[in-house]
Amino acid sequence: MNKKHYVALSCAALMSLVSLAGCSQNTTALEIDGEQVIVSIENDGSKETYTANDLFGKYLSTTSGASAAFDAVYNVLIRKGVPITQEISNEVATQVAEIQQDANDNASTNGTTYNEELSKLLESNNADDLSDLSKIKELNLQKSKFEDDYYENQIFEGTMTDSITASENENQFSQYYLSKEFIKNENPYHIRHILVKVSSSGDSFLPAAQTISADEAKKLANTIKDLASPSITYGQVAQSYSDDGSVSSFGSLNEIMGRTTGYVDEFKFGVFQFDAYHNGNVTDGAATLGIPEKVRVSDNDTNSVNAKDVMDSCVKYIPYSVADQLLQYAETTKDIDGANVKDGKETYYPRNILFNYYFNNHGLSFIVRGEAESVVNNENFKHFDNLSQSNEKKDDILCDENGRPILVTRAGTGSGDSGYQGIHFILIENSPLVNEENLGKEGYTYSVEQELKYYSINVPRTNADISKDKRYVTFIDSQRGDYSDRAGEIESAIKSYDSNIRFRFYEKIQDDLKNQGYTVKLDDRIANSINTYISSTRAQSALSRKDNYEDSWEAYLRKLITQKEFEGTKIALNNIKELKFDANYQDAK
Amino acid sequence: MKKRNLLAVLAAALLVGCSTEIEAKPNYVSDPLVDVSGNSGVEEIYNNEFTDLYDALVDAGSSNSTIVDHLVSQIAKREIGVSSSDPEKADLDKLSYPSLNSVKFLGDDSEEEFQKLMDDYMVDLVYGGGYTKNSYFQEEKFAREQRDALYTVLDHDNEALNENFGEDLLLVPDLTFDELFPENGRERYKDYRYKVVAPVIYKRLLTAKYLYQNKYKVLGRAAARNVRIVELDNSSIKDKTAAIRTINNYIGGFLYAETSGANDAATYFPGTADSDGHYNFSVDSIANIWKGVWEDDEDPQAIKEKDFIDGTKEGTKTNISGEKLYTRATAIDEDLDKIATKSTDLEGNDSYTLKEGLDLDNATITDTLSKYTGSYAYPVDWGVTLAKREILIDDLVEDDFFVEKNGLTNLPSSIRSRLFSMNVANNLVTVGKTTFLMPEKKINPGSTSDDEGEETTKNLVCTDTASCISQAANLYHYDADSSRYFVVLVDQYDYSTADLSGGDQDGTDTAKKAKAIEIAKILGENSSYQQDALIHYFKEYNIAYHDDDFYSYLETTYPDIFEEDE
Repeated sequence: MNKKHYVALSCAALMSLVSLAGCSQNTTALEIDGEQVIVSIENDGSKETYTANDLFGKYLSTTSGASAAFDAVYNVLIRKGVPITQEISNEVATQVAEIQQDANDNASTNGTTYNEELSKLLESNNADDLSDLSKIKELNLQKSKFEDDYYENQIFEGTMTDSITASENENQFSQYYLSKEFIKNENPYHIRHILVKVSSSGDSFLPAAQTISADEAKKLANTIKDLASPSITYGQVAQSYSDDGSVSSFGSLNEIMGRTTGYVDEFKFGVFQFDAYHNGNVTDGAATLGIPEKVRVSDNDTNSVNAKDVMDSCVKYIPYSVADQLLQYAETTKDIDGANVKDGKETYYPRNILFNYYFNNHGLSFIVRGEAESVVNNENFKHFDNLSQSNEKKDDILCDENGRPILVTRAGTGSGDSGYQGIHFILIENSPLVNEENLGKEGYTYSVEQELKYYSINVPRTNADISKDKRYVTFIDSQRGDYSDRAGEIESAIKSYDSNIRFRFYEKIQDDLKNQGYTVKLDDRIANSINTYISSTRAQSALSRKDNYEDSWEAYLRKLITQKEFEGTKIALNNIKELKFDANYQDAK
Repeated sequence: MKKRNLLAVLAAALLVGCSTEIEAKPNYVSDPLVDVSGNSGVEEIYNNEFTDLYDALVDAGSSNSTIVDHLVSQIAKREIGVSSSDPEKADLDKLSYPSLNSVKFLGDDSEEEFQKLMDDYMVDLVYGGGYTKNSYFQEEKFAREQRDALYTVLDHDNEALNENFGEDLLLVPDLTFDELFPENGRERYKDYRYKVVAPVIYKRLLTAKYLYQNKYKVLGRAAARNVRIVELDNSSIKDKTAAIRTINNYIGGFLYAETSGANDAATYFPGTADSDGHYNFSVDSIANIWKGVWEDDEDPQAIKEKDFIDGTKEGTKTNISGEKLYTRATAIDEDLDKIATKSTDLEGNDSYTLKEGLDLDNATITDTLSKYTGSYAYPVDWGVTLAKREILIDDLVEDDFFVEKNGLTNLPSSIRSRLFSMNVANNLVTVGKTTFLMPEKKINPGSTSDDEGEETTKNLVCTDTASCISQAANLYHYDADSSRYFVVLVDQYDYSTADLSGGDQDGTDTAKKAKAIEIAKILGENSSYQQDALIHYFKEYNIAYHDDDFYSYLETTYPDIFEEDE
């Protein structure tokens, strides 16, 4: 139906039924009991009508109708609730003038008239005329202002030394509520990693798929050796070796990792696993992170397995000396007599046997000191109660220069240009479950307040002393521009946390108007429609989020069980000796 | 958009007469969407009128087809009529009108019949896909879809936003509405049913009535058949005679039981006899035997079928050949035998572990590994679970009433043409109480589509097991192009024009009327007939148009409405 004006004759309120012939001669306007009729049917003396009121009611019961009603009401509230400042007025004038100028320019370019071109531009802006255009531009600027102000109030912008309170049960419009909710529900992590890409296939546990090049073997080995070197920091190793874009930020990801971040399961859940089960500074980690307790592996109820057991069974310890062996055998493809082994199958090259045996682990791995002479007194290796296999030095775990363990996992997605396959060396720069102030204390619970400060979007001034203001933004002692970029990453994560943020705006503007002394009352006809739309959309989003998270865990745990099942297909290490690649070969210890 | 001055438009309209189009709008178009009142009363706010929202919705939506659908439902309610015997069922009464026609398209309890049709519609939706996880139906998925569309759906605790939808359900064939939507599903989905499903049913019924009253000959030409069909697909099974051995044993056992008169007649047939001594030929049982997996292994019929598959038990034959039959589950077992070791716990649960020393250079081995691990995404145990579920949920049986138009389109054309032939009786043979559609020629295993095959015979009496097995070829159909076997039972086919004579609205034969209406209801699902019905009733009803755009839409979309009848 078009938008042309209707001759309602509704001014003739006294008339209960009015007729007027339409242009087609086949239509007559009809109004019954004050409602304008679109069509009526009559049969056996009984009359049935369908009115415009009926049609509108039908629309409002649909998602698209309710969504349109929501937008329309939100726009009205914004128009009333957000003052039109001089700045907004000036900007509107500028934008309208630009469109007029564009119309002039286009007319000149296209050989048309100003009015023709203006008409096109107005249509593309969904405006009736210049006055309407101004109103549309004005509304857009009011919205931007309102939404910016909302975020300013909702996202913490202080420093680590600021004192704030972080009650969990407070009004949703009180300060930093969105930041707090993000921290509590998304469990944000600040992660660094070094990625060593490999050419092996990611979708098979069979040895034939797990072959790497000599250069990849060397890079993998050198990464480990440099990570163990006391004279090089983790960040410097990242800058030297990482095949990821984070190479320029000392391995720091340019994105906060939370529950819903779309990282490969091995990476994200490996970190969660560490905090839940191996980090002595965390209690109730599994519950906080929502890790499932069981995973089902058949229709047989008794065949469900404990999720923690599955993850524990895949924790691997890679002796440091494997790095030496990888370097030693990187180029070796023939036996000591120069002959092909097993018909020259790459699978049997020593570097591939070592890679598949030690590194092809989609669970968590750790580099341990082992019995290598060269690291016997290396202080980068440390003991962790919930992680080390024993108190012996050989079981100490490789850490960064600050004594934090380095998590290793095999992960990837796709192949070639459409993805990557590789080994991640992960460092948890900041865990939401560890409150630095409470490290090592008994009865620890994680602190929203601490994390609120850590993910503050405060941008220090140039050359500011940030030694006591260690946050995500200030992680890299850098220029103001970089701080701003990192603050933007936080803002982006928090803003995208709630896919239904527009509902928060809607509620906030109503709240603001009430605080300004206005009474806001929605027409009953659309109030129900909008309320149903909001509650339904929110509920469905929450459930989808929960389901997706649980499905990801299920898939990850099943993959680990599968990996465990295929453990026996790996080519044994002693083949390196038995196939005479090296008469003196000994397994890494 | 600027506010409109209705009075100005009105004045213009009165002056220029026909230059103004008629467009109906809600009578509150000038009302504000939101009342924002301050100290100085209600505030004037730009674009705060219903008219802007209404115009935008009408421009973006499909208002005209919405109105047409509404009219069809309204006409259907008048034409069909649904009445409730239960005065408390006021909701449906709101939708219903007394039947204005003497022909009853719904039975005495029309509300229950109407509800049942809505049940069936929802069941079909479930089987249409999209609501399962690992072959289990998740009602919450279905409910979410409706809730997303703003319909009120209550969970099992009658909560509109919570999600207690009970246990997931393995989506085996033939689950009922109450099984899929327990805890009073009709009530819990009432909003969705009345807003979405009821109009679909009304349209079908209205079309059925149109055909019955105005195109009665169409019903007789529809070639309606009441059939039971089982399909065994041998294409992905390496043993190329697996399906035929299953069928030969089942049909052979049946013929032996029905015709041999031998003392051990019932020994080889896994079905029961009725009080007349005739055996129940079950297409479902053939399907189960071919599948070789059961949801409930302890069910007595399942035990019978398992014995039948085994061929012998304690030295005695349990099927007519005494041969162990190959099933789809056997194919899984064979696959697994290459890669895994089975162990069974005390409760009889099987589990699988990978064999040691697998030849990973053997493509058959690695392909099988990949197949049962979803390309290494899950363990073999889970792969077996999923594979067996896939078999269980596979529906190999058709058991319904079909017409030639759009019916049983999955059947090979040679079978369809014999089934829907006007002379179908010539193609049938009855054994006991079971009527089979015979193939044109007997096709032996390994035949190609070019082979002519042997002549069939209707003389199916056999006296010994071997001859009974050999007679089976007269009763199954083989499609060489797709390696599929079919057994087609025809329970009723007397729906021809002659058969329906006297069943029209002026007729007196109530049995024939019932048959004709049954066919009309099936044909009522056809969109082409639905359009014919719409045009017919729109012409018949005195429809008055009060909106130029809607009139123009009908004129363009359904020009026949405005054509004079010849």
